[in-house]
This record gives sequence, C-alpha cells and structure tokens, in this order.
Amino acid sequence: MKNTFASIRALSWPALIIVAIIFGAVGLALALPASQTLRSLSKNEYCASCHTMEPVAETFAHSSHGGNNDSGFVADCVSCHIPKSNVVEELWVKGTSGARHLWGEYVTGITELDYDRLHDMRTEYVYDSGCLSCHKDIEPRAIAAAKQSDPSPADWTHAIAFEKKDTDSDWACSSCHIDIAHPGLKWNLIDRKYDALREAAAGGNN
Amino acid sequence: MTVKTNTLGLVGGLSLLMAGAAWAEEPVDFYSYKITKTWDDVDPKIQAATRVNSFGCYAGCHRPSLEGVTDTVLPLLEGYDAQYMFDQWVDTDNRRKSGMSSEMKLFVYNNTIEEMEAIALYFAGQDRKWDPKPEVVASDSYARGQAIYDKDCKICHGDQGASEDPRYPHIKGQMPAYLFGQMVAYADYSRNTRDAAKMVPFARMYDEDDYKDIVAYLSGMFYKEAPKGEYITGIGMPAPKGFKMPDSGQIQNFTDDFGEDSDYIKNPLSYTVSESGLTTLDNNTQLMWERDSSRFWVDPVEARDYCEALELDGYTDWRVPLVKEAASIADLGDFRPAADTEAFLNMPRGSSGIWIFPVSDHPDHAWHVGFPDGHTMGQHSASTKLVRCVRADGGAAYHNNDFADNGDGTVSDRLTGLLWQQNIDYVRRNWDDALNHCQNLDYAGRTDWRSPNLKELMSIVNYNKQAPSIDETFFPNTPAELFFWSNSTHVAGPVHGFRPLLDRKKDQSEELMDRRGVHDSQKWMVDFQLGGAYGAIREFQAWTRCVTYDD
Repeated sequence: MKNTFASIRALSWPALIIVAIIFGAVGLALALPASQTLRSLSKNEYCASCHTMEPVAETFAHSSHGGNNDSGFVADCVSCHIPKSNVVEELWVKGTSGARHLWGEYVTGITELDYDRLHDMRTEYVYDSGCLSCHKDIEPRAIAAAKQSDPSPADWTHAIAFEKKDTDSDWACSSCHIDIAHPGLKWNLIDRKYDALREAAAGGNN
Repeated sequence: MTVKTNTLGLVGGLSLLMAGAAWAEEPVDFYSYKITKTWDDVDPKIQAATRVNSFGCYAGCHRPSLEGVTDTVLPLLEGYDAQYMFDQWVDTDNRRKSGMSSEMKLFVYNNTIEEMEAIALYFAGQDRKWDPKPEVVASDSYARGQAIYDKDCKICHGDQGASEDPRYPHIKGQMPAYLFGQMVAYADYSRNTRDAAKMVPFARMYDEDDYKDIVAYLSGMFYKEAPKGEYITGIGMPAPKGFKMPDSGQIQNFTDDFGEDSDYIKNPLSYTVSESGLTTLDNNTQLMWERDSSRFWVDPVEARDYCEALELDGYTDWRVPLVKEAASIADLGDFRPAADTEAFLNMPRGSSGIWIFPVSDHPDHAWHVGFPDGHTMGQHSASTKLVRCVRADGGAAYHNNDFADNGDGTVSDRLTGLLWQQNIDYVRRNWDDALNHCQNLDYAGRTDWRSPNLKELMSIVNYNKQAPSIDETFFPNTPAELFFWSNSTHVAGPVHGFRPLLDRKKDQSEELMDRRGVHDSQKWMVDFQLGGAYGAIREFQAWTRCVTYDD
C-alpha cells in the first residue's frame, strides 16, 4: 500500500491529470448507461411487468395516485416505495428490494401476494420521505395549525404524527393512510385466486 | 324489490328479508355505495317493512337502546350516521373481523343495497339512550376517562362522543363492553377496515385500564367483562363406537328435481329413552343426551358448570355438547322445535337455543344450535341460553373426522361413511342448479354424486379453526367467502313460519309432505369462515361441494 502511494506520488503532475481524465471518462461512460438502466428499472411499466405485480398495477390505475384524478397526474412506484433520502439509502433500497422481487418472481416462483402479511408490514416498504417529497405542505401546515385554537382533526393528528413518526411506526404515513394507491387490492387478489381455480377446474384436472 | 313477510323473529333474525346476493353481483357498487337518500325519501312500503325488519336485528342479538340492557358485547344500532352504519355493515362480510363481526356475514348477503340503506337510515333516525349511572359519573374512573378523552379523542368524536361529523362515529352512550372490545381490536390491529387504521395509533397510546376509564366516561357505565371460561375444544376426542351419521330428518319434497334431502334416506333419526326417562340415547351417533334441557337460562360458563355437576342414570361425565353433536339431534323435517319432542323434552317453541362449544374466532363468540329450525349461529357469551348435556362412553365425542385422501380427487371420511368431492369447481350457483350440478357430475370416475344434506355438510367443518373452518390438508382452497349449499330446505318456509305452526312431522298431511309448489322456502347452507348453518333464498349464489356414500 505504502509503495502504491509512493509510486503515485512519483508521477509528474501532467501524468496525474491525464490518468484522472482517463478514469473520469471511463467512469462517466459507465455511469451514464447505469443511471439510464436504473431509471428504466424504476419505471412503472417495468414494475408492472412482473406477473405478481399485475393486481398491484391494476388497482393503482384506479387510485388517485395512479392517474384517477383531475389533472391526470400519475405517481411513480418508486415515489412511495423508494426513500427520498440520500443516494446511498436509495440505491440500497432499490437494489435489495429489486433483487428480492426478482428472486420471488423467477426463483421461488411466487404467483400471488400475501396481502394480509404484507399489509401488516406496510410501513417497511412505504417511505414517508417519498410521501413528503410531494406533499410538502402537510408538515408546516399541521404544525402551524396545531398551535391555533381550533385545528382541524387532520392537522391536529398530523402534528402528532410528525412528532412521533421517526420513533414509532404506528405513526408513519401508511399506518393510517392504507391502500390509498391500491384500493381494493385484497379483493382483487381474492377474485383472481378464485378465477384461477375456476379455470383450472374447468380444464378438467379431475 | 320483494319485501318478504316471513320475519320469523328467530334468534338472530335468521329469516330477515332475503333478496339478493351482494358481492356476487356488483362488488364495486356494494362496497363504495354512497347513501344520498334521507329516511323521508324511502318508499313508504319499504319504510313499513324496515320497521318490521329492525326487530329482526333485535330478535336475538342487538338490544334496543330503549331497553337499557348493559350486559351485551354488541353495539346499540341507534344513533349512528347512516353511511357509517352502512359501511360497517357491508364490511362484516368477511372483512371486518373485530369482536363478533364475523357473525354478521349472513346479513350482508341476505339484503339488497336498498334494504340495507333503509335500515341504516331508520336506525340513524332513532335516538340512542343516554342514561349514565350516578355512581359512574361520580367515580374517579369517569374523571380519568374524561381527561384522556378531552385530550386525544374529542377533536374527532366531539363532546363526550356525541360526534356530529359523519366521518367519526357517534359513540356516546354505546355499550361499554362493545366500546372496550373495539379499542382492544384497534390496538391489536384486528379491526383494520375502512378508516380503522386512523384509530389504531390512538388506541395504542393507551392500555386496557385507560380503556375502562374512557368507557365509563362515554357510556356512563362501568365495563364488565363477558363471561369467559376454559371450555372443551373437542380436539383429540375419539368418536363414539358404532357411530352412524344420522339423516337430517327431512322427508318433505320441495322440488321436482331429484337430489334434494328427502331423496336420500339412510339412517332415520332413532332414539331410546332410558327406563328412568331421564336420558336419551341416539341410536345413530351413540351419544347419550340429557332428555330434559335446563329449565333456566345460563351463560356458557354456567352451562359448563351445570353439566359438570350433573348426575343422571348413574353417569357423572356429562358435558356441554360440541357443535356437530347438537346439530345432529336437529330434525329438519320438524319446526318449533326442530327435534323429536318425545326424545327431547322442554323444547320451548320460541327461542330454544342451546350452548355448544368450542368458542369461535373471538373468546366472546360462543356457538349455539337454535331449535326453532335447527340453525347453528354464534351469540355473545354475555347472553343466556339453555343447556342440554351430553356424554358418551370412553370420553367420546362427535367432533373429529377420520379423513383419507384417496389420491383421485376424493376424500373419504371413515367416520361418517361419506365420500367427498375434494376439488370444487369454484362456480357459484343457485340452489336448484347446485342440486343438478351434483346429480350430473362426472368426477373421479363416479357419477353417483349428490348435494349433501345440512348435517353432512356440517360434518366436514373443523370448528377448531376459522377462515376456512375446514381441514385444508384434505380440502385445499376452500373459500371462506360466501357459503356452500346443502340439499336441505327450511321446512317451515314463509307460509308456516308464523302461527298456526306446522303440524308435527308425524301428523303432517300429504299436502304438507309434498310442497313442490312452494317456491320461496329458504335452503340451508354452511359458512366455511366460521362454520355456521343458515337459510337463504334458493336464488342465492353459493358454492357447491358434492358428496356420495362411500361404498
């Protein structure tokens, strides 16, 4: 190690600059497609391309976050399901959750989501930082309103939530706001299950 | 819209108006339905029917607010916002599972949206009684409850729970055990439908002692726990030696199509009364019964203690019956009571329900068989029913099956001698189509399939588990949603549900035996969320699992 530093120090300044430019160019050349790739792996179409995610995408399309609103705005899957914090955490979550989903879809062969189990752990994969990156005014409004004499129940509750949410998962955004981007998901899954069983039975398995 | 007049006033309003299958047809409309009417907009005819049907709610379960009963774990229905009540009611279809909610499932499917809307509007227009007990108001608990309430609850639910905002339910004067139970259910996440998630973090800020204080403040009454006890579960109990599956007792004809209950007579009901006249042996199941039921009304804990203390004909091993046992003595060919009145005495004609174990999906949810007609339902354990004790040699019980997977899509039950279709086709049918489906079924190399009678269908329920209440090793993917058809008919039907009652079965005329012209008798079905047995109109869309004799 010491020798390596010594040999670098031995190089002349022009040589160091040339080496830095070469490394920088190679790095950029690699990073651009990587970020392109990452971006395409973060598109809603990509998320919805897995069979298991069909009911998720279908119910999303009916939700206010999925375009069922006056302006036609459609949120990204990653807006809620990847944190908006720092590049390290964002990449970590993207990488681990992506790997987990691919593993489930293609290796363990999951065919349906276990709604009840996943619903109970929703605060682990819906990120408050994602919610708040769009809904920027909720926190200042709530905190200001809670100091007034007659706050609305929403402002008052939000003020408590902002005080507690970092330490108590009962007060995360998705603790209270359930299924807002996937209304009726549980029943969509149940209907699909029986549709599949009905088709299998009609196929003459017995 | 048909307004039915066959409100029998049975326990639980079993024969409430029946008109439509809800989820089966229009799921979105049903769960997102918005009430825009007021009570005054409701058709006067429907108003009149709704007033009558409100007594169905009162008949066995919910108490009228005016009555001032406090020993119930069920909510008073008066005084809620109509939309709130409608939404909560709809959700008791296998969605909202807190407290006793599962028991409401039938009454979601048995009503049309219009009927539910009218009932919700009717109760919304009724006042909830506010009659706080002076000793409660004077208590420390009440004061503590007020302090908590004013700090963390009032902003949504209003002064002392008298919410005027339809988004937040009016809870002032609600039943103490109900309020307490719901706060527990929010805190343990078991109440999780609609806006429940917004209550969860608040409920979790406090503990059960705090809930008692809040309850004292909101209801003006002290919380009193419903009777809870250790009851037999039936798990591991062997079947009685020589057990035979008894027939349902139904011998009347209700359809031209072959395949209904009375078309399959195998083991007619048969009993031997002991010399003393005190006990009755069921010659099919080999269970020995207390011939007379208790002549007083008891809660489940008292029922258990009564049987444990009983000594009859030299036997001391009496116990409260298990679900299938009590259902096995029902005679579905008779009505009020649906049982042999020689073999079984003291069957008051109105509401002769007897307690049965085990409890279901909630410690306060105890089963009973109601002998007006032979239905199996849950009731909360703070209520009272009769008890009729049972015993069998060797600590035996009719509870556990003896299944064998034949590997060809059929399951044998060596206990009942029945062979079951393992994999249903997941098609929902009306009752007549279900009969014909089984008659025409070519499955696993056999064509002798039929629709099971009510007792047969109940025989495969596992009352030690829920949703689905069946052994999934042998019957995988059994839907807990909706219901399964039996081939049995509710014998009284709309014509004979009121006085004059039907003649006893043995005295019935040829006309009463042949009722193929009577269209709107309810048909029996079984719920595999919990295992209840109920009647529904024959047009209801339910699942079908066919059966045949295993020989």
